[in-house]
Amino acid sequence: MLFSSIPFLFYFLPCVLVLYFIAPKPLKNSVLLITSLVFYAWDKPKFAIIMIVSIVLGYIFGLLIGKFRGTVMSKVFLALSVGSSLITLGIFKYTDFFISSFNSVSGLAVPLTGIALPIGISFYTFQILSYTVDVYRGDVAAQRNPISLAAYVSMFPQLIAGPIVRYSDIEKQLVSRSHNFDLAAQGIRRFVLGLGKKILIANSLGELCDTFRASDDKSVLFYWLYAIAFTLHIYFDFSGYSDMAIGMGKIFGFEFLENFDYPYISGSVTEFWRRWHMSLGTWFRDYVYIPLGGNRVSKIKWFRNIFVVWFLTGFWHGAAWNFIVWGLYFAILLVLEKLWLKKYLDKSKVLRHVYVMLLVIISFVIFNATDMGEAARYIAAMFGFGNVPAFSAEWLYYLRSYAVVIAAGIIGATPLPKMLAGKICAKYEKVTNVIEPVVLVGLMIVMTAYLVDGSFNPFLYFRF
Amino acid sequence: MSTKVKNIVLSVLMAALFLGFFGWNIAKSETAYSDSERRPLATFPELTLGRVLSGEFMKDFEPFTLDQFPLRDTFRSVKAFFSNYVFMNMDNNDVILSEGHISKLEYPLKEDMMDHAADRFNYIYDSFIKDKNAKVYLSVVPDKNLSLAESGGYLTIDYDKLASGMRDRMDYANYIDVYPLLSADDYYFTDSHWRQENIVDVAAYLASNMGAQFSDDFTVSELDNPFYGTYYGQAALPFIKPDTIKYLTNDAIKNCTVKGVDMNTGKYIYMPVYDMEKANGKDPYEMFLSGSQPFIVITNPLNDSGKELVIFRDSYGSSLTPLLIQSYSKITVVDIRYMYPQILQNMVNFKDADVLFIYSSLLLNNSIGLK
Repeated sequence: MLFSSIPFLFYFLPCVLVLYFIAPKPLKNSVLLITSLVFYAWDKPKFAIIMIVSIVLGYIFGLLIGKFRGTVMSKVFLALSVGSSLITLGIFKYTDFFISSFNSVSGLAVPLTGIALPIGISFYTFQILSYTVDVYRGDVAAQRNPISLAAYVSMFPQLIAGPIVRYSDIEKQLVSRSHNFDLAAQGIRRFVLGLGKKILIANSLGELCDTFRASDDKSVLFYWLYAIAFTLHIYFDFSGYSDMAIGMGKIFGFEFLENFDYPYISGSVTEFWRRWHMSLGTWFRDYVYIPLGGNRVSKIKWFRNIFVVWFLTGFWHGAAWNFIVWGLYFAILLVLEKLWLKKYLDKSKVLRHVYVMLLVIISFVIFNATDMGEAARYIAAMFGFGNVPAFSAEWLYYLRSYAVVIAAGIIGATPLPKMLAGKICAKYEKVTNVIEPVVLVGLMIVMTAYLVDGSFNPFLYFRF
Repeated sequence: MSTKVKNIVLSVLMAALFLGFFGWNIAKSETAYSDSERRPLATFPELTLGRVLSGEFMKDFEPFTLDQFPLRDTFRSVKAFFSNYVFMNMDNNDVILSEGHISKLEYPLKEDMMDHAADRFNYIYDSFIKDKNAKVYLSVVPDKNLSLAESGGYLTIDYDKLASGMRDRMDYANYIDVYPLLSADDYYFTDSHWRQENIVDVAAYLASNMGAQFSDDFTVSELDNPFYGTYYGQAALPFIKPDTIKYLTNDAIKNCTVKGVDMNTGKYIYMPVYDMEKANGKDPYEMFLSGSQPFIVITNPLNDSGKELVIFRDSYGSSLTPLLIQSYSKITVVDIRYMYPQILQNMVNFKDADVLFIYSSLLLNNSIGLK
């Protein structure tokens, strides 16, 4: 079920809110668990079985790791836990990729399995992994209450597109959390703004990207328009989802960590990755990069560590070569920045932003390509090697049609609107206190109108 | 208002919004048909354990919730307003507003559709007309984007390429070019079709090119009820004014007999040139020759020339044909969207007849419905 859908907003969510707030405190986690399972099973009921099995395994291994902590058995159970999680992920996400890659190399024609990807499997698998590793490390105690652990893994606000919530971050909140109007209002504000990002900007730009792909009238400028539109689309789509997740978390009394911090204002690729999909970045840092030695090793090993992490980051995003290339592309840029590029970037504020955005835009062309051939064709065409004219009628039409959305996207991707709103609210607090609820309800009505009028548009990060 | 009160107000308002619409959704009775969109609406999907477990129920539930949402048309209007006037999109769901007209993007030109249309027409020509000493004519009716698109900067098909493409594919037909005779105002503001009262010159030009007599002496009448065209509902902008339908009569129209085929029984039935029952129906444009009719024979007792015309047409032909009645003793009107042309063998005598293929650019670019 999508957050940005009528069934979620006007059927599922009201029911959950009523059930959750009338339930006595000890039953609130149970309500969250049951409703989350309904939420997850809504589109493909059979996928819920895979998630339940993963949770049960995580629960049992967590207990065993905790019980035998400090012994060899603890290591064995951790290995089994990590192994079972990765095997599940491997089977459901990567089997056909491995088969097709094997076929390409060997020339054989091993038939593909056609196994469907359960939505959100990458997110909940990483949550379970972080939980059992944290128990092994002694950072958290094993959760004895299966409902609490299951509620943590399956909690619908963050279940299928993150942020990747660490068990350690919400361990205490699973036991005791507060609910009040201040938190609820903060959550509502965040949720509505996130929904606005998704429906008003991301969906619009997604349509533009689809239109470009279907077009027979491509031109160099149309390729650029597509690349810029997709760069904005993926940010507003994913950060909008994270905002909604964080907002709903607040309504239910949870504090999820931030996932985005205006990545497009970054002055280097290194900074970009500190601001983009932060929950994934810190996950790989804490569970892969640092265990490998991080940067406290020889230069060669340090670069190896960077390449391993970015290979895995790319591969996590999708079972295709373009995702791996996308990850390694960033690994190369990060290494280059660490070696010598950073000192040049520090010299000009404008140039470093141009540098980051240019490389990020190109990266998302690779990311969104159906295969590496398409990625190469698109990038070549963007730089005039695509045997297409410089501009076309379609480019002009869609540029005019989406100019306001693109402008809103560019401005909205900076801290400017938040800064302005903050200043206005501080200066005219009494007036804005009256206006804010009206504006948010109005915005909600406009977004409902967009949903009622249109067909749904799935979140991009569902596939990961 | 303090921040604390604001937070309470916001929480209560938002809860009221979600719970209110939830309750309304549950309590609201189903609407079967959308008049504004002219389509049946999705109804509550069949609920069985099997359909739930297979995900079929959920798949059908979403369209149901969209179609049956309370105040659906109002929400569509809100969206159209924001799309057109806040986000300044050039079109909203491909619907454009230009020079007071509502229109729909028709783009790009689809060669495969032209091929399909020509294939059907060529089949008719080769099977029934070729050896009958008939004079064959072709005319392409441009949609109103021909006039609107360029000035408004909208994407549009290459109309010249469409016309020349059809001419090339139908080299046995004499092409009658009506493009220069039409401007945006010859079409309804809220509909794709042309206005009968504005196409007398088109009818005269066609008649003249086919060597038939034509008089532009018509009496103009007007329907009392407003005409909300197809695009009106799609635009979802309630402040746009509806059109008025005018229709033309002369002695030939008054005295002719119109015989159609009942699509249920297959039997011939008599019908009026202007169907006043349909004029008061959901789509008043259907008043012209009773709308979607596969086969109509019009006999004009006032014309004793013996000249016969066979028109292969789409809905644009419905309002054009009455104007040509005066010029022929008999007109046969065929719409191969609703009948297979294979059966024409026993229904139409093409010998020495004028045969006019007249189709709109919209149909030729979306010809998949031609049988």
